[in-house]
Amino acid sequence: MSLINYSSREINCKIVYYGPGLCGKTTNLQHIYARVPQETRGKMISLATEMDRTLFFDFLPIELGQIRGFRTRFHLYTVPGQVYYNASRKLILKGVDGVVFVADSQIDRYEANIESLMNMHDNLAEHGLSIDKVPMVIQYNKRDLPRVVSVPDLEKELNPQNHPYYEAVAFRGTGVFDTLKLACKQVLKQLG
Amino acid sequence: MKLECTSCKTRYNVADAIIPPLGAKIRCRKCGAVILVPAHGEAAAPAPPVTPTTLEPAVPAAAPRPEAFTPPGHVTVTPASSRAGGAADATRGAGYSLMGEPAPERASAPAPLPAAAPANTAVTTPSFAAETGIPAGLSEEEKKAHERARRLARVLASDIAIYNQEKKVRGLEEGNLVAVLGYEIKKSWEIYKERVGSDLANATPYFRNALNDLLAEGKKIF
Repeated sequence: MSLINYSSREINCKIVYYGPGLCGKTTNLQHIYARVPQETRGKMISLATEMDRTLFFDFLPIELGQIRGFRTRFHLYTVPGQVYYNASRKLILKGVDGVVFVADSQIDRYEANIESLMNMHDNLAEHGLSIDKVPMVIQYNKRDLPRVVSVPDLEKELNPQNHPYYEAVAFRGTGVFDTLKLACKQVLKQLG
Repeated sequence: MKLECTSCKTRYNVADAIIPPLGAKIRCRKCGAVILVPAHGEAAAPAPPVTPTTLEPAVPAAAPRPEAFTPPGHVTVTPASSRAGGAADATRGAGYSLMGEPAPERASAPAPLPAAAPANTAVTTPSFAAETGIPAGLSEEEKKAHERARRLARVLASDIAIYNQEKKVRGLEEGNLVAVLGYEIKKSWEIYKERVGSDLANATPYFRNALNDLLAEGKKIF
């Protein structure tokens, strides 16, 4: 649910990077943050508590062009990927306008992708949302590693609805901006 | 010796031969309560501090065979049987295409046979699919619940493995994996029980198998 700020004449959109633990969500955001012009980005906020090691979200507004005199500001979030931290994931999904699902291509994390995706569906449903209504882009990350599942097999299991996808090697930046651009585009399309 | 759980009244038959001369403490498989087993010839003497033991109920379900996760330090007493070793491991990598690698040989290899047919699980082969350990003959709904439970167990174990790689390596090298990762395992077990329900969690070997497969790298440590 995008928020319109009339005083600053901004439309605020929220994109959440979802996926299993250590799949590369944070790497995506760090790469984006490092390459977005300083004047167009906000502060990167990272939360890590003593107990919840991976519990943090990143907050990164990126300004794009204008829509009818309103600037668009994208807020990018990651969720903690470990199964433990579902309450945080659920909270972060609130008011989401678009999702990037980052899948870990490694064989050993194949089931973690499925579990995370199902968990995302459940959490969206708790907010009265479904992936039919929320734009989603899938990113098959870590394609450079040796023991990975083929993209057709990943597609078959994770993407029966044929959402757009990109292959990526996030730590090198490959596919990161392609994924983000498409996610932003889809969110704006939804707004229009 | 016949015993009854003081908490949930589940009854057990325990062979006298496995009860230590000084008695023992056992843990009820159904409710988890500790039952004191008196020493031979005694009525209800307080048991000495020996390691609690998990027992099978006197009338176990036909299939699947209950196999609860036992916290570190506990001993599980099961009927004289052993599960087919390595069967779960055979699923890893099978069925996926690998980029830059030939298809795994084991995918086309015949399924490994159990070393010896366990006495009380004569229907092991048909009732436990070699790949997943999910019992046959379940309704579609039950099957889905089992598949979800098995997957969750494997993801939890996989999470522990990738977030604690150093500890895992050290634990395997020093032979104290259970102690080194005890906190994480316990936390995962609690989440697992909460998500799949205690009954299914306790009655199936998925969590234990996942730990052995993904944390212990195929060794039967858990």
